[in-house]
Amino acid sequence: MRNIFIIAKNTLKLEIRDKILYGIVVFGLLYIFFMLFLADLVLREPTMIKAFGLTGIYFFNAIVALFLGTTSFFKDVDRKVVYFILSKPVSRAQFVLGKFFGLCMVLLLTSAILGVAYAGVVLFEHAGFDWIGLTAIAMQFLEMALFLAFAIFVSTFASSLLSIVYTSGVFFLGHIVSQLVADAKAINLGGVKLLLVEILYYIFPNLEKFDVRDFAVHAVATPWTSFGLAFAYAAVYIVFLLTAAVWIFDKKEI
Amino acid sequence: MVDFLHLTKAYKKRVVVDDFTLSVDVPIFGFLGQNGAGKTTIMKMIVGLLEPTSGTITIDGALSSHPIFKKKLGYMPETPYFYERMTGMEFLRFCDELFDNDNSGASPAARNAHYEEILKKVGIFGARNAEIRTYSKGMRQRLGFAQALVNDPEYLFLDEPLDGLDPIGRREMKEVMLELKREGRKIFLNTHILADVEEICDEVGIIHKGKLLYAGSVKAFCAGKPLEERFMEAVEAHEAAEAREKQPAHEAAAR
Amino acid sequence: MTQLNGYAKIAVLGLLLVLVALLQFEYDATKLVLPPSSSPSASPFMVRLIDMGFHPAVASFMWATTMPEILDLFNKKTEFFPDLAFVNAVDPKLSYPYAFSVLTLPVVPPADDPNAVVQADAIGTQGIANGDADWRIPYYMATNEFLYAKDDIAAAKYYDLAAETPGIPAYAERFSLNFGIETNQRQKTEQLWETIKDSTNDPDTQARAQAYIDHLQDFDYLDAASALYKKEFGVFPTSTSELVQRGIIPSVPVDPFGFTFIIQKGGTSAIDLTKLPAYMSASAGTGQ
Repeated sequence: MRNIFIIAKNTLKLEIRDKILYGIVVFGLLYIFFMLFLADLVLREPTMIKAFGLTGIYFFNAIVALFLGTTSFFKDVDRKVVYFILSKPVSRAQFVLGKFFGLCMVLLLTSAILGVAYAGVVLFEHAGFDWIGLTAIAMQFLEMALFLAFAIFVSTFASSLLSIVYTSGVFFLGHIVSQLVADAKAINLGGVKLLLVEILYYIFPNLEKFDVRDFAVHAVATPWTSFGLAFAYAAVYIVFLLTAAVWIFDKKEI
Repeated sequence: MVDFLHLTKAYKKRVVVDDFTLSVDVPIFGFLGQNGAGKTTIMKMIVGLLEPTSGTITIDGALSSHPIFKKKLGYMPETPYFYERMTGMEFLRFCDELFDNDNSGASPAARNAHYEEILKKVGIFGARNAEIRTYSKGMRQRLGFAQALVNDPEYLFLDEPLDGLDPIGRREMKEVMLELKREGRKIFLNTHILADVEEICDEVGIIHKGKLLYAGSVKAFCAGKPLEERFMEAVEAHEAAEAREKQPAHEAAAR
Repeated sequence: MTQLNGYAKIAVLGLLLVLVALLQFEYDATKLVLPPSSSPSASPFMVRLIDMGFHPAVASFMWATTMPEILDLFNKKTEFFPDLAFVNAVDPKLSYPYAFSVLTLPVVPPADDPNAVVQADAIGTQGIANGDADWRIPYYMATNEFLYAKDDIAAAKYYDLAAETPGIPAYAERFSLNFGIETNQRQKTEQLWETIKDSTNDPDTQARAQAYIDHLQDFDYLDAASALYKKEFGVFPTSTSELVQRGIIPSVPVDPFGFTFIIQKGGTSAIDLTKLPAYMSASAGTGQ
């Protein structure tokens, strides 16, 4: 178990050293300036500042998660750095979990830094301390964790490029599944086909529940039950994805 | 005592290691064979990177790839790849931590001293705080060797440890191996360089196309002739025997 | 090429860049341009579908590009209205577009277009129904009714609605509650609220209207008391408590909205701006 923590810590350290830290700091500053610029465009309307701010954080984190998730694990295996690790008393499961938690910590760091920047800008624009906005940031972190788990899962059997394609696709679809089901019903899709669509709806990662930005911007707080359910959903789905990843990786010839 | 018992590794199209059976109980044992003979595959199976299709590898009766046993062994992969942004010291520390040894009681200073000693031994102490991406090929080989020593292993499995080193480096690393032998450790090494086998190996295993052609003392194998000549003889003899086995079927088909 | 010395190499690269710039210039001059579309190319439904939940951000961004179009109305270019409708469709709860439109439409030249107030009203009504609670929408609507439509009854109603909207800043709330209390306006405002009270069967609205009437009549009461005081003592009183002490009135009237009354230098009554009711200082609001 301690091995998971060691690998996670190492992953965090290396990814930050790699480019991410500089990128974060630069982006953090750009982000603040961009938010203030957009704020001026809309005559400093606080609701709109919050909308731009929360969306910016989400967008940046999604890119970081996509990049890290599809490359970090894959590179370690493809470039055979894992030979040093797996020849020691470290199981493949510990390695997968260690990478996952390490990357989660990177996303936690970016969320925290950008969260502080966001709260600062909102405060600066005299819109008070946006607690609800911060809970929206917490929710998007859950989504990023799920995203990372999926990316790692895909990179156990696909190359980096394919992983990016699959992961982006799932990310995109995951936000419009409800709409697709509604559409299917609207065009009166036949019995079996509709059933298939509905089954897919329930098992395909449904990311809409993590999007409380719409509510946060309009000052509607997320109830604890919603937060709890979202957390549980993310946890279970992550366990599912990482278990599959470990089982696939176990069989992989390296 | 290391025992290979009917060790086999087969992929869909070919057999890489073929019914390999061997017992080794000497300080330094060398696997000698051409590139692609199966040496690296065997070593990966010893340390648990690959699963055998059938057969076992045991050390003193215990499965070599079992986590408990892995704590006692050190492994150096062929052409080692590192996390480029780590320093030499950090890398050793990272590897050491993964062993989850009872060293958790030791102070960081004591462990650091241990790493420094190892780095001095392999000759890259000066670069210990430089990022690995600045290391030359020779330095990387040495670091790969160093991390195999970090847990004070009883058994060492080294895959082409002298690859990419200049003549001075080769001399130095061979000295290190002899010193490790004096310390009572057991070393297995893969190589395709005949001279190295003659110089430091107590016994040799000749591997060709996944099969063990000979195992035993080097001197007995050579029987007065140069090792190179004897090696070629053994390989050609094996090839001829294989051809003969296949021929009756060909001739039968032709008729 | 590789035999050129350093300076020559830089010169060659520079020339190539100049060529690039010239080609870009040429392209811009002859660029294909799509004919301007009168309506947005995508439907709000599509936008909501593909924006992956970024509704407020997308709507806000589209609003940033729509805002300047309000000035084009002067040139009879009416893209503003469909674009505003688009923004509202992507995020109906975003209140600022409604508020801004209500405020600005009547003042965009030509300023005395009576249609502008009607359009602003329609947008404002939609905003009150669909958008987040935003005091500015009814407040600006009230101002429009008072200034341009000269419909004081509607103005009073909207000011009241604004006053009751959470988040209204103190200065706006004070103004809304005290709409029409100036001496020359007062009687008309009282009649206005009487009309509102009589026009409805809703007990809440009637009570609210009565509160305004009482508020206005308190000023009348104090003005009359002040005049009486002057008649008796030769000078105007300096405070309402003097009226009580000297027996002109039995007690200072209690204001339904919680304001404190003072007597001004000229003897007329007014509210004390330094002593606003407690509930007002609590609401910070989004005003600037």
